Amino acid sequence: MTEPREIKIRVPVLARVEGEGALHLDVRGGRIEQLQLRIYEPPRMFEKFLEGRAYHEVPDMVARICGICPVAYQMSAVQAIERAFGIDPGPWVAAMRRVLYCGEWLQSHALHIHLLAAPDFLGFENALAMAAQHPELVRRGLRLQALGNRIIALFGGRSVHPVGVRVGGFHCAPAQTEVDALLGDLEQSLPEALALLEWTLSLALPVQSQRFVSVALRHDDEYPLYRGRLAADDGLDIDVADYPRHFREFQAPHSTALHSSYHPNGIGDPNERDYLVGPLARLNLNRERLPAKVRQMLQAGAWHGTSDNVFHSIVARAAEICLAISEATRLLHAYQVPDRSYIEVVPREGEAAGCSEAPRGTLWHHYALAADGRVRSARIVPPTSQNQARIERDLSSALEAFGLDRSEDQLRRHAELVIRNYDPCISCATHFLRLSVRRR
Amino acid sequence: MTARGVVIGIGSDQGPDRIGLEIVAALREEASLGPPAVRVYPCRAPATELPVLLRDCDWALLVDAVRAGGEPGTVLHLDAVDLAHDHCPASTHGLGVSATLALLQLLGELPPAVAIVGIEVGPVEHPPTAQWIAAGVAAVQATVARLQALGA
Repeated sequence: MTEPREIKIRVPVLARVEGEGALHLDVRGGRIEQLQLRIYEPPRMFEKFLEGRAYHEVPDMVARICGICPVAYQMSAVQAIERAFGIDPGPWVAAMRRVLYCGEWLQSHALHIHLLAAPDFLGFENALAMAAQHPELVRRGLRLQALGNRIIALFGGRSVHPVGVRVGGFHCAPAQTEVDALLGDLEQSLPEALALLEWTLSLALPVQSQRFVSVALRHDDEYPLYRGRLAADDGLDIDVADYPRHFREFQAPHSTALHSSYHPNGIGDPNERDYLVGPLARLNLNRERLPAKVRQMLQAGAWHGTSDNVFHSIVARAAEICLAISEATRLLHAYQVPDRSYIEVVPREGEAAGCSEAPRGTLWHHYALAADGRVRSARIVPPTSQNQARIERDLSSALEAFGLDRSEDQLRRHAELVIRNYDPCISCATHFLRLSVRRR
Repeated sequence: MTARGVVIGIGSDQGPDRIGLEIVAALREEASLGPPAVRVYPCRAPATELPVLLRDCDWALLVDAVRAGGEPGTVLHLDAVDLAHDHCPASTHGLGVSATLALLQLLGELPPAVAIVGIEVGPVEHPPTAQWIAAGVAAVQATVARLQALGA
């Protein structure tokens, strides 16, 4: 047996051990003949892990699919399981799940805007270079992110892989004093969030008009986070259970991740399109549900309708940060410690779908459950796989417009700039994209 | 007054990358790091958690899987300044340990001393062994003792 060695050494890298993304281009005569993007997709293994597990284990398990958006996975899962069991946890649970989701949007969007998008649009190589000249900008992002984490921890027990969610409600209800402490900080942060939105509206963003279908949840009374009907800006309006009638997953030969296509007239119809999910799609479909102040600011910033420019996602994220803080504040002002934080669950055989709006877009779950509540089958469609076809089409037009005669390093950096708009749910090594280009 | 320290095991629950989490779990079970002044945490999302975990402490020790081209199971002692910086990821999931530490250092929000224990791991399909975990635990205990003795 080899004895473990201990040595002191200077090494240049602390590497993660997950997979990488890869982009392959076939270029002929100055045009892209073929573009293939491979993104590692963790939820596929979880669908098999869940088979045979008890229904009450599902929230904790799916929370581990993603360290940035665990709440989203939990929300889509409990919604589906509760539908399958025919139970409704009631208005207190619905309201507090919305608060919890606000925390995740706030945390994720703040991180993305300040550490990924802002360097791109301010002309810095990366967040470090930007922080050297704009430290307050980065500190603002970390403050907002920390506030989002506090909201998640309030109901989830902790901010990463939260454990507070259960089928039927929450394991515990926070004390009034904990809520009051958070409420004060939320109210103080709204002016900062509005200033952030103003700042994003002032950015000189690239102009890149594209044709795509926006898909997101819509709800009669609220900007959708946790619930709603599935809608598209070409008129689609369906129950989330009907997702498979219009959206098809398929294996692209070059990728381990499934791709998704949208069929406006139903799966049997050959007319299919790529589509966009995420903050910009949500804004395109739900703008009138934003707080009045946010709508006014968008209007004043020349946002008069919908946007067909994915670079505007940074504005959409900033608007949703304002929404998240406003909504969490509104709902927590009405907070009262309930008699019980959950309803009792009696499992039964059944199957159902659940769908909620992860920070990156629509997240659809489907479960078939046995009479004892064990999972027979699970299907999880994350926003990133739904966006993959859209990302590839975006990359194709963006790189051609950028100029294919540029160096591979320049092409890789521009591709990463485009992909960052979508903030895909991927595991990254030190270098995200391995780029290979074949020119003929 | 005893210096306030924090030991943070970094990783994910999949494959060899979970070794940092396994080591802090073992430390918590052993309760072997002495006084309550030393806090022990798992960390699965460095970009979101490290800024909070690294507050209000005099020293920090991070534990994580590494791939430095050495033999699996090798324990490496590093400083934050040793880490290579490639901080232009395409996703928030790409904001890892080195980027977050560099950012916090720039903002003046790192503790006075930050040490790193890295454990060389094998391919993705090879989970961490009990031997590697034990070696990591021993390395952490020794490093904590050194940091405490320095009064960091």
